[in-house]
Amino acid sequence: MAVIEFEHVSKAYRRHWGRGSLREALPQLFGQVVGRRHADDADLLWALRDLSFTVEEGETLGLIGPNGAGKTTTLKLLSRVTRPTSGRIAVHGRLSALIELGAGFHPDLTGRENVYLNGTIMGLSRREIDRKFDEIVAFAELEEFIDMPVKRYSSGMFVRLGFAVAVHVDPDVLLVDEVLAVGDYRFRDKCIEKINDFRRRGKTMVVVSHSKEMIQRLCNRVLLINHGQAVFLGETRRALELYHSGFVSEELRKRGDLGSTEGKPIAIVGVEMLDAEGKPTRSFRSGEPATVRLRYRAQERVEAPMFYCRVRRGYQVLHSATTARAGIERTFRAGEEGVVEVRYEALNLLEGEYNLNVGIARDQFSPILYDSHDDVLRFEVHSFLQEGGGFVRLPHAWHFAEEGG
Amino acid sequence: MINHLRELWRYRELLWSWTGREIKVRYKQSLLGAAWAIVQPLGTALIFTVVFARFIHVPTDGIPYPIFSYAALLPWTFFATSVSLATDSLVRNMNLVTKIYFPREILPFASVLAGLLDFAIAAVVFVGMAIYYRVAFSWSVALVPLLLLIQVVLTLGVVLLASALNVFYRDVRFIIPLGLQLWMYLTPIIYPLSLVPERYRTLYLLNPMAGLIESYRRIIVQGEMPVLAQIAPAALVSFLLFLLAYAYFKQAEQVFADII
Repeated sequence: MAVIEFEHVSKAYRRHWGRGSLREALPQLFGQVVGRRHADDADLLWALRDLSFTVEEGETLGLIGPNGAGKTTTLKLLSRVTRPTSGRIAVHGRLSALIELGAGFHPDLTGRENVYLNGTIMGLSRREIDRKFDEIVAFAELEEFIDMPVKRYSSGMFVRLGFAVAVHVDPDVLLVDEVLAVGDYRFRDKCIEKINDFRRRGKTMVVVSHSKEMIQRLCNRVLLINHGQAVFLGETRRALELYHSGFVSEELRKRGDLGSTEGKPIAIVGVEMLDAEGKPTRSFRSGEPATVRLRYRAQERVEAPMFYCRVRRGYQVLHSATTARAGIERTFRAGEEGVVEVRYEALNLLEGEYNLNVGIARDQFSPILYDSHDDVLRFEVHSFLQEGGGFVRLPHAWHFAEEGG
Repeated sequence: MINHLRELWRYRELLWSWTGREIKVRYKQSLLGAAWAIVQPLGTALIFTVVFARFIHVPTDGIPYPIFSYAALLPWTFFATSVSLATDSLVRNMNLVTKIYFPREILPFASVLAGLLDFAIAAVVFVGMAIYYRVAFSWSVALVPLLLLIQVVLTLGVVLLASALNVFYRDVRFIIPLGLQLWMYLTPIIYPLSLVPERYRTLYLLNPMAGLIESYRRIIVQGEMPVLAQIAPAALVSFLLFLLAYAYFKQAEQVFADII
C-alpha cells in the first residue's frame, strides 16, 4: 500500500511577493483586483516541475541531488508546510519531520518546558509527553540539565534534546533531512540506530542526505532529482553511481563556465581565487591570506540578496560566509555589474583539496536561490606535518608538566 | 470554516502550551513580572484622572473619575496589548512557520489568550479600587463574561487580519500603534458615551469597542443592565469580522511559508 503519493507535483515560488512594503504592494494588489491575478511567468521560480513518485509502506526512500534541486521543497510539501502549485499529494498516517531540530525551543525556558512545548508542536498530547518524558531525557542524556534554561546548553545538547523529542513522536512516516550531520559520533550512531529501529518496525521514511554512507545504510530505493525534475528512481547503488559520476564531476568540469544567466535576477558570472599578492592561484600555503573574487551581474533590480561562499571538503561544509552574517544589505540596480570579494585573513586549512560553493539567495531565510554553483572551483592547501592532521589548522604546542615544577 | 475549527480543536494542546510559553517568556525576563499588568492601566488611569478630572473636568455621569477611567482602561488595555503583540506573532516565529506544519492561527490566538492573564491580574486591582470608592456591585456584574466573550471574538478577528497582513506587508507593524491610538479616541474611555452627539451615535456604535466599554461601565460601576442598542451592534460586528478574518487568514495561510 502506498503511504506517500506524489502525483505530477509542481511548485513555483513567486519571486517578488512579500519583499516588504506597501508602496510596492499596492499597485500589485490593485492589479489583482482588476483581474491580473497571475502575474507574468517570468516572476515565477520553479522549484519542482511535474514530479511523481510513491513510497510504499515500510519502505525507505532516499532523495538525492545537487543543491537547489528541490529536495527540501519536496520535504516541505510532504510535511504540509507549503502547498503545491499544481498536482496532488497524499500522505496516509501520522507524519513527523526530523527537519529542524529544536525549532520552537525558547532560550529562556528550561529543557523540561521546551520538551513539552516542542512535543505539542510535533503533535503529541500532554499525556503522551508525560509518559515518554523520562525516555526522552534519557535519550538526550540531559538528566542533570533538564531544569536549566536551554540558552545555557551547548549546541550539541540543544540538538540532542531536539532529536530526542522528534524521534519520540513515533510517527507512521518519518522525514529526515540531513539532521544527522550534527552532534558527536557516538550520539550520531545512537540516532542512526533509532532510525533503523523505525525501519524494522515497518515505518515509512524519506531521507535527504548528502552522505553516501547514510543513503547506503538506510535506503531501499533512491530518487535522484535535478532542477526540480526526476532524473532516476530505483536501486540505491545505481542512483549513487549516477549522481557521483554524473553530477559531481560534471559540476567540477564546468569550472569557469558558469552557464547562462538567463532568467536569473542576479547571477554570478565569474569566480577566482587570489593569493596574498592578488595573483590568481589554486594553490595555497596553510595560514596564508586568500581571497575569493566573485563577479556578478544583476538583470533587474534586486533588493538585499544574500551572497554566500562556502568551503567544502567532500560533503562537509567547513566554513560558510554570507553577506547576511556580515550585516550587509545592498540593493542592486538593473544592469549593474560588479565585483565582490571575500577576504580570508588566514586560510587555516590543512593539506588537501577543497571545493568552493558560491551563490546568491533571495535572503537569509528564503529557500529561493537566484543563482548557485556547487563545487565551482577546486583549490589545494599545503601544510607541514607538524601543523596537525585533519582539516583545520589550530596553531598549537605540546607541553609536559615537569614533575614537581 | 467548520473544518478549520475542527482542526484547531485537534491542535488545542498546542494552543495551551503556546499560550503558556507566551506567559512564561513575558514574565521571565522582566524585573517586575506580573506587576506590569497592573502598572500599565493604573498609570494611564492616574494620568487621565489628573488631566481630565482635575484640569479639564470631563463629565462622568457622576462616577469618580479614577474608577470611571480604570473600568474602561482595563478591557481596553487587554485589547490593545493583545493586538500589538499578536500582529507580530507570525513573523516573530518565522523559523517555526517555515519548518513545521500546524494551524497558524495558534500563534496570534495564543498572544490573545496570554493577555487574559494580565487582564485578570489588573481586574483584582479594580476590585480593590471599587471597594475603596464604595461601588455597589449589583447582579448585573454576572454579565461580564458575556461582554468578555464578545471582546475576545473581536480581538481574535482583528489579530487574524493584522497578523496575516503583516506577513505580506511589514508596514502593518507601524500602522497598528497609530491605529490603536485613533481607535482609543473613538471609544468612550476618557469621556462617557453621553458626550457623543445624538445624531452620530448610531455610526459611533459601529465601533464594537464603544458599545463594549460603555456596557462594561454600566454593568460594573453603575449596576445597570446593558442597553441592547449598544451591545447588539458590537456583538454583530465582532462576530462578522471574526468570520471574515478567519476565512481570509486560512486563505492567506497557504503561502505564509513561501513568503516569510
